[in-house]
Amino acid sequence: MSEGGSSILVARDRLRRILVQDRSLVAQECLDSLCQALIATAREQVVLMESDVTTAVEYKDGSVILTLRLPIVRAVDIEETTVIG
Amino acid sequence: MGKVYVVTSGKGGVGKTTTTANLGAALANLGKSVVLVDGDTGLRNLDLFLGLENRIVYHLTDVLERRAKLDKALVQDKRFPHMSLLPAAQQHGGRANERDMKRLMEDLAKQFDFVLIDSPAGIDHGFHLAAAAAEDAIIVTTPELPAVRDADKVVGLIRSKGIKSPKLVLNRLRISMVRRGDMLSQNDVLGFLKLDLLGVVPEDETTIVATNKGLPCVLLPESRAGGAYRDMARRMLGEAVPLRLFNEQRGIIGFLQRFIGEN
Repeated sequence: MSEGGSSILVARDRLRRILVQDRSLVAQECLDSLCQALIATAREQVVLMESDVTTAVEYKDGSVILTLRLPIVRAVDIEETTVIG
Repeated sequence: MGKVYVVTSGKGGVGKTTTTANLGAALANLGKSVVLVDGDTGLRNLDLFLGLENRIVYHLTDVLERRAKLDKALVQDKRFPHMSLLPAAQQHGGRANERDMKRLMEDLAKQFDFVLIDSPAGIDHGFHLAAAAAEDAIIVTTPELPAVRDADKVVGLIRSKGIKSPKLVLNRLRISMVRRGDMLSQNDVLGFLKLDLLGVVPEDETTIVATNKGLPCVLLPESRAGGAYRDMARRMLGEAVPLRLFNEQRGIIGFLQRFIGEN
């Protein structure tokens, strides 16, 4: 058993990562880089609620779909770099 | 016209053949005509699960390569008047094609209400042969990472063959481990695989006892796994059968089971 008395949280996290990688047919590192690049691009235009940003990969009709959930707080002011955590 | 299912998993050893034998027997007990097709050429085992290993003369490859007629290769199970087995060859050989397999399954679907193809493990030729001939699929997995990962891979392949809604059988679930947070639950597995659930089979020693004797555990009234398969067969016939709650024993036995963490 893992620390905390249960191994299920580790199993869920590992399985989620494995399936994302398998379904997208790219390495986890590449997928992470792609997501980070997309999120960084969004941040140039809007302020995001970082705690609610999620990513998911699914199969649908033979295609792989990468879904990013990017809750927008507001548009950025000029030269603003603030992020709400 | 009957319906052709492929029973598959990706990973070996998760209970495909047990599931095929028990669903077939349960459907036959409900009065349906059933043929079980062992698609695992070179590693046949479905005959052992049914106790029919001494009655095989011809096999699937003989029929596909036209060395034997279909009715000569079918083995009638005397315990189930409506159930037959089409065994696999025990030697690897031949290279049956998907067109011939499809044609054979169509012939069987004209004679039987249900055709259940026990797919080999893996995603090689045998899997594609079995899947190509099916119109629906039953994916078997256990609540372990390698099995769920392989099942996910197989779901993608099955869907690419036009089977849009494969059904899931979650095998060997141990409620006591789920409760203490050391095993994926049925909701976890369903959340990852996003399939329709056909049924959940609890870990149950009677499946081993039944296999030792060459009989499906649906014939054992005390078998909890057998009960789960009987429920699944009724769901395949369209009945709305609720999932059983595989609670531990009550009373002092249940207390001791929970105390030592076994179920």
